[in-house]
Amino acid sequence: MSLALHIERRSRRKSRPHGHALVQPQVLSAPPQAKTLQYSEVPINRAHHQQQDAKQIEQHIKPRRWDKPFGHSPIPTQLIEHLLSLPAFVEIESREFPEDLALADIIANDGRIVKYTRGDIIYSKGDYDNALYIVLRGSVRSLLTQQGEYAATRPRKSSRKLRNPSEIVTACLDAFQQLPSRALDRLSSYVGNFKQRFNQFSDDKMPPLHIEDVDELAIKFPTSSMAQGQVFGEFETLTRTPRGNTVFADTEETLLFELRWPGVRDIRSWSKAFRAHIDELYRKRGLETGLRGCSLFENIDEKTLETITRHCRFETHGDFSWAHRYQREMAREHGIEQIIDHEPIITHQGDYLDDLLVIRAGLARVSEKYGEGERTTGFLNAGEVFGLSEMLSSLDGDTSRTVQHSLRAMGYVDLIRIPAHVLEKHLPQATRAKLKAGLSDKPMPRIASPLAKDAGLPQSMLDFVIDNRFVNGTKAMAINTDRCVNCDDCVRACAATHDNIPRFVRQGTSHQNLMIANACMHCTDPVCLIDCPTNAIHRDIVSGVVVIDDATCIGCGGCATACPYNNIRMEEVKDAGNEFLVDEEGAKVLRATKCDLCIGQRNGPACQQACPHDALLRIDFHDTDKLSDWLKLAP
Amino acid sequence: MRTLFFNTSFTIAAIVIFYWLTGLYDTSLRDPRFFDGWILFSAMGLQFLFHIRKKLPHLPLGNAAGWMQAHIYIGYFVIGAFALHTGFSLPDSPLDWALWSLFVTVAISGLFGTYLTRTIPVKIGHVSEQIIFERIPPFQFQLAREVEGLAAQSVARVGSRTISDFYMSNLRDFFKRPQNLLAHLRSSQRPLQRMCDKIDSLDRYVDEAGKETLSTMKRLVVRKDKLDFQYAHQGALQIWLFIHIPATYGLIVLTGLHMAIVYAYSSGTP
Repeated sequence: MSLALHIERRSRRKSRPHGHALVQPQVLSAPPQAKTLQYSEVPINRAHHQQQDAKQIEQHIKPRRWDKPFGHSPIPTQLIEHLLSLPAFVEIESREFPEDLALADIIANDGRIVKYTRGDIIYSKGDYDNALYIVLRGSVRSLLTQQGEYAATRPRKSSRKLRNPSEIVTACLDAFQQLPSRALDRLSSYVGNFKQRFNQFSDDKMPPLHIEDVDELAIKFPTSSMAQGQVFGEFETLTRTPRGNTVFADTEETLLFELRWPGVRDIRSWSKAFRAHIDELYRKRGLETGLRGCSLFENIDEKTLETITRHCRFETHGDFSWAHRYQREMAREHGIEQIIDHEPIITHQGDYLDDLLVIRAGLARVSEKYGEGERTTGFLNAGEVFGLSEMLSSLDGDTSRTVQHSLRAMGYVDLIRIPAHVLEKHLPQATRAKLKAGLSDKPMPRIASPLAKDAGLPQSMLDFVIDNRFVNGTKAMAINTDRCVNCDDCVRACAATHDNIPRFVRQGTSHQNLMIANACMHCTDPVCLIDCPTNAIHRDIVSGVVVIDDATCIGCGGCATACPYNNIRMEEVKDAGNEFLVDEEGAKVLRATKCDLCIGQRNGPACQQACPHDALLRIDFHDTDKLSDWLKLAP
Repeated sequence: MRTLFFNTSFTIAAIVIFYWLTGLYDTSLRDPRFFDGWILFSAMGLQFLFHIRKKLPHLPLGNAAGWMQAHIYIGYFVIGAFALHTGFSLPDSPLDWALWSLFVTVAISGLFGTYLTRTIPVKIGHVSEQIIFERIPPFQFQLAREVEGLAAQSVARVGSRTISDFYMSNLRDFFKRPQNLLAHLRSSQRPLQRMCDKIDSLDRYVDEAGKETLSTMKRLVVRKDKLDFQYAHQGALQIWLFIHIPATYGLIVLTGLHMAIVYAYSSGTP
């Protein structure tokens, strides 16, 4: 079988609305079907679920990991041999893998080969896909500057906004389909079928994401080329962060091998050679792209940037899979108060200031000595800088040069160390002046040493959100207990939009008048994604909302165990007749369930919309001002 | 505060304009009760739409918090409009009495409910952490079992029935069901204090092990008292709706009947 027979064409990228299973691109094996070889989306309506459930009752087969491979079908053995000869895989020893997790099986099922034409965007900056890419044929190009990004891609729009008449029709059909009355169930299923046909029709009309004039773009803006055999996309895959830049196909026939996260994870876990290779790339690219994206070095020429890169260091503190350790520490007596003692320290207060620290990924806690303990004064996100004010004083001739705060990794932190002598030599005077003005007046966004007063929260509240690591949440369900009357309208609204099963529990951890309910927080670092064997739990490619694909969830419970906040539940699956499904061994079939932020709803999360007392807010904890205003807190 | 000021001003202005328009209607020698009656009916219809909005959370009908605000302020307007429609006088027929009574019930329960929803959550937050209302009985049952176990243990351990007798006469009923609900709504600590005093007074009649048992019992009494506090207040938050909503349905039916009768007996020149 030739390579060409297993190529999958990818012609457009768009977000996957809730309730839609991604159907894999079709195989280019039969020429007559070639015209229809595109991604399409098939809505999962109740009738579809019922058909599936009925099928499982007959077969009594529990879903397994590779029931649905990444590609349309598993990659054939002959091609796997070819793939394993690629530089990224050539040093992997197949015997390092256990029998039930053979390397060839991983490559066959978690990988796929996709064909792109020149100008096709493989991924855009900000996308939340989690695959690792290897160039098999042709070459790809990545954009290196923000200006290039603006020129290459259309402005990204919210998936909730109605963009064209077809979306308005779909929204209306959605609304009708969810009418609660049983009498309307039949009508609802008709509407669902019509919607499916309408979506297929409207989907064909959507233009692919494509760069028209690649040559002009490459002349105007700096780009970096990656040729045959090279690996890319590893940084975001490992750190669970959105894509840092846009990558597009540079040749007419560009073939890529794409390996989804579960495959990357397993090969990296079992093969030392692959791990070493990927980790080296990860550190190298993490350093390069981190410095390029750092606002300190905006408008610096390429040559100087290369010099700076040579002198800087990339470090990782803590552990990627931090959730298990965190749960263990929290389970101890006085866990919450002592959690700070278990966080890996990066810099001690009072240390000599050698380097400026730029957070590349993860979250870091900033604290200072207070009495016999440590008082938390803030936290830093990716892109923020630690030690800037001290460094600026030092550059002005202050010789004391000691760090005013301590820095710790909350879970894991990737950071870049920029030595003082590099800043002294290469930091433009204009940027220094701008930074000083910013620090003395209003802190510049993303370059500040946050203090509790800047965070806008009283100390005890700041401790609460940081110690419990709620700062990881981008859409945490905050309940103002001074307003909540326990009417449960939020729970009912959630149930009404999710087949009468609410996706959260109106209960959680409280402090003063704030309660963080047990609902998925759609974390900055969603550790629940790490252990999923099928990639069923993943992020929506555009919005980053963490969703579970019911069709591929095998009910292993890995995500529920990994969630440090207990926000994922395992639900027993029922068939159309309301009977529990059982597998061949007689055990009930389980499926993970959690809040999906009503991603298919045009009017936002139903829980928040339904609260008549304005007592419920889906909040990003990085926006502490909003939280403070809403809770009416005085620092 | 600005929103409150704006909403209140708007409502008062709406009532004044309505009063003025009714006066104009009156000077044109028409029966103003048809005019203000229809305005009143329309406003009541708007009020009822909030109930519909709550039943359809998946439709893009706007934020429920905004609907709630509108419901409250239109409610104030409706009270003013009703007063004008009735001419600030009491009814004179059985049907009108029934209609009047239902309106007053809906209005008072609504006003009372608004007051409760503004005050009770804060009150609960100051006393203890919120517990889901439906989970209070299981917690209560758990406490009852714990205290019963303590009483039984005290008999088995020292052979004295002092504590078990005290349990039978004072604590069993206390733990059996929610107690002192009215006192809790008044935020009175007196019943708890009284129970704690009773336990303290028993202290001199028991040995060291008994003292420890009594201390544990006292702690459980305080926990049960907090549960009762939650039960009383959360119950109050729910019970007003059991009056407000059925009365609303009754009001809708009688309003329809009222309109039918009015038009059946009207002269045809409103």
